[in-house]
Amino acid sequence: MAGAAGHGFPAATKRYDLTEQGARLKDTRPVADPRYEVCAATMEALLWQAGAFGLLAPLVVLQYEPQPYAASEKVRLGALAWDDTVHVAEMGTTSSWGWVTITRNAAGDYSFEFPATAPDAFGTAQAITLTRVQAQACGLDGVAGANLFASAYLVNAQTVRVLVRTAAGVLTESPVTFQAFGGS
Amino acid sequence: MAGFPRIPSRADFGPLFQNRHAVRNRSQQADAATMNLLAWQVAGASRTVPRAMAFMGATGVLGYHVEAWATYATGSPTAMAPTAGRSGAGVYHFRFGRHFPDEAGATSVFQPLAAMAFPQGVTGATGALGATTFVNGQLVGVTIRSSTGSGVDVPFILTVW
Repeated sequence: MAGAAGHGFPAATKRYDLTEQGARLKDTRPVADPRYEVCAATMEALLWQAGAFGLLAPLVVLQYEPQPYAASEKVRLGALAWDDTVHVAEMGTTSSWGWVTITRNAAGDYSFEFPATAPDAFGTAQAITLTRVQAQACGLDGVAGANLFASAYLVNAQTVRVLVRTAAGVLTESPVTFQAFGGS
Repeated sequence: MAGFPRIPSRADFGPLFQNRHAVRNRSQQADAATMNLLAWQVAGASRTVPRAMAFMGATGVLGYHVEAWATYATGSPTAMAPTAGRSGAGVYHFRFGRHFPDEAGATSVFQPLAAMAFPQGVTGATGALGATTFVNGQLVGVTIRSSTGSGVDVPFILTVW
């Protein structure tokens, strides 16, 4: 049976078929001291947990404050499962930071475009495929958000669009938070 | 290296692993590719999974809660949990501690950056409910309103990053 054949984020990696993370492991001999040896059961548990993360963890979590609303355009939280260099707040007047391009289409209408591919655990380019997204309007520091309702959909597999409306259905400016998932 | 509440990068798990010898038995040897994949997945998921989740009762009593840094015990020890309460109709707050022990017992900093809240259905509730959140330092605020804008007391699930 082959060893690990999975790719890792941005691709999903699962445990159950014993191909992407390799064969089920067995101890070659009894573990005499678990402080100095990693037993097969421990490795199995780690692989199992990581497999579950690969299926369930969001690929993207992003909190965005549009410039017309905030003093300057700001991404308070940008976290990508496929890029461990991105997990910081970024501020500025630009809307493109390499890992995401943000477009304010209109008041309360925002698009977030991610790259088509990203390197996996082995440096091989894998397609970024977002399949679900969930968004919510939010407030700024210490200030409750207004009575707003956010909805989100995927324009394509790499582009999230978030719309924020008042209770009357009118698009309106607001900070938003969304999480996007991969998988099939 | 430090895990939650700190967020590890791939480099925190060491350099890219390589097989010192040819792997002869896949069921008895975890090869470098498997270990590299494991470290990548854990580092990646660590960035996007919530740091904390909580079920809040309508009256402001904190119910089930879990924190990413509280893995030693079953459930979640009270000392690891946020203090929480309700300050008005539909207005709730959570205050998280700033310092928690990592897997080695060393103190690491937790800084909430974003949150989402999801109102839960209650018998007799009608109309749309909207939730908004804010983060200010260690404080996470949640406001839940009806479509007319008035605050509404309902249970909700809070997710914090």
